[in-house]
Amino acid sequence: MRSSAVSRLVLLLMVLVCSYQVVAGINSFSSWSVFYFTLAFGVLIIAGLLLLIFGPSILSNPAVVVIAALVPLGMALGLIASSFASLHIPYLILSLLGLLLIALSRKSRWATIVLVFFHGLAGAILFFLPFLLWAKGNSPGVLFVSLGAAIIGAGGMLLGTAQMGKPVLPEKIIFSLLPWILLLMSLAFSLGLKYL
Amino acid sequence: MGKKFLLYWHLIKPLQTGLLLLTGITGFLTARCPVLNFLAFSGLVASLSLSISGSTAFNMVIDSDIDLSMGRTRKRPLPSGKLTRTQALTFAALLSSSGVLLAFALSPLYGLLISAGIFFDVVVYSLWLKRRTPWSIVWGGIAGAMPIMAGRALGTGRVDTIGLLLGLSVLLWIPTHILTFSMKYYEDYQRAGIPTFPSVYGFEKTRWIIALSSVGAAVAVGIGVLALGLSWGYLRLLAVLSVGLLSLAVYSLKKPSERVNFGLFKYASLFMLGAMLIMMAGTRL
Repeated sequence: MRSSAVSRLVLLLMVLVCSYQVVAGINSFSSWSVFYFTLAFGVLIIAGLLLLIFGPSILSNPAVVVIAALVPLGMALGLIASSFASLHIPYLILSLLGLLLIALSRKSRWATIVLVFFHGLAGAILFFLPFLLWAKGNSPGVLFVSLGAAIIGAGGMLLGTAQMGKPVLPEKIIFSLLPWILLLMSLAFSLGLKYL
Repeated sequence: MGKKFLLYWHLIKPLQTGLLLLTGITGFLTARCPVLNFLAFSGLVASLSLSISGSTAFNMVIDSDIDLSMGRTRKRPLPSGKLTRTQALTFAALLSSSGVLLAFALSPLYGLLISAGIFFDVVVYSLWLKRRTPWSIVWGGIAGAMPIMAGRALGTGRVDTIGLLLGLSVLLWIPTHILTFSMKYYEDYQRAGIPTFPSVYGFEKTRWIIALSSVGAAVAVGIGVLALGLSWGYLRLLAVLSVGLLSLAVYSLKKPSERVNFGLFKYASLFMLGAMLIMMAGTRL
């Protein structure tokens, strides 16, 4: 399946937004956070370029599930390392364990449970932590991170249902929505990080 | 008139010429010389465009019999008979000579490098080696490395280590670019009797060479960018793009297919484009 010109343009914009973040948008954070945010935005950049080159069919590759997990994990780790330093190492260990389990359980019956647990945990951190930070006095702008988490969550569920063979929308629509989801999510994360 | 212009336009392979021109501009900008030096900058753009276009047009003339035997290139202006060899030769000679003259007027060293680029591309690569050995691409690569080295030499007034590194990165990137292409059009090259790495050494060894040259190109660009003193942000972005290139090269070794192979070809082009933009932006900001 080939992407439309609009989809490719939106993907290119997403790649540019993420590239800007990697170059200039995360410099004010600690080294650890910079590393994690680079990981998350970096995966989005490479994913965007591969989607541009190969089209949505690349999503059927089994490696995508493991690599895609790096986006919420990287963002959540960056957020924790910058705002709740004491939880950084425990969550890092949990994340590494999660990645390992996601990779190892791909062909077992536990695959979905493992994926949902670790993805869900990272998603919940990304969604709820900004509210906590807001309550502690941060600018409400930080809630853009929650918005990004909600968008990535919705996108993940759409794709997940398509990959399980029970799409809630026709696959063609899901694949045409995907570039927009990725762009909006990248914009929301980029804006939110400015207020962190 | 418009149709005639289009024929000559196709003769200079605008995309390839554009990418090489971009490398030359990048080399110049990395020298941190004043970009607002309008004369030097526009002279660089004009001389490089003319020289690269002329050199490409010469290749089109030399390879017109090969182009005729390959489905992909049969409709080009020369094999299709829409332009005569004399027309194309005159066009190539006019462009090249005016490009070289302008280059020497800007700086003798710059002119020398531009002339060397044309010599390696037209005489060594196309005329002498292309039909004899698959290793001809090394010389084609050296020719491809000349614009970025020349651009930097025009800015700094000498050929320095950074210039050589940047040239090396283009030289190492070229096998990724050309070999993936020669694998995709393997049958065409066989029919034309052109020795390529896939036909002489087989597909697996060619994939290894592609993977190794990708590693080499990424390392050379990385060291070049480090030596240029770009900020960490640009280095991070380059690292991200390099990881993508290396992953795709390794994937093409593990799960070879024509689709992955051509994807690598496209990604390698995007990687080089990205690396050039990073160097341009990084040294100017």
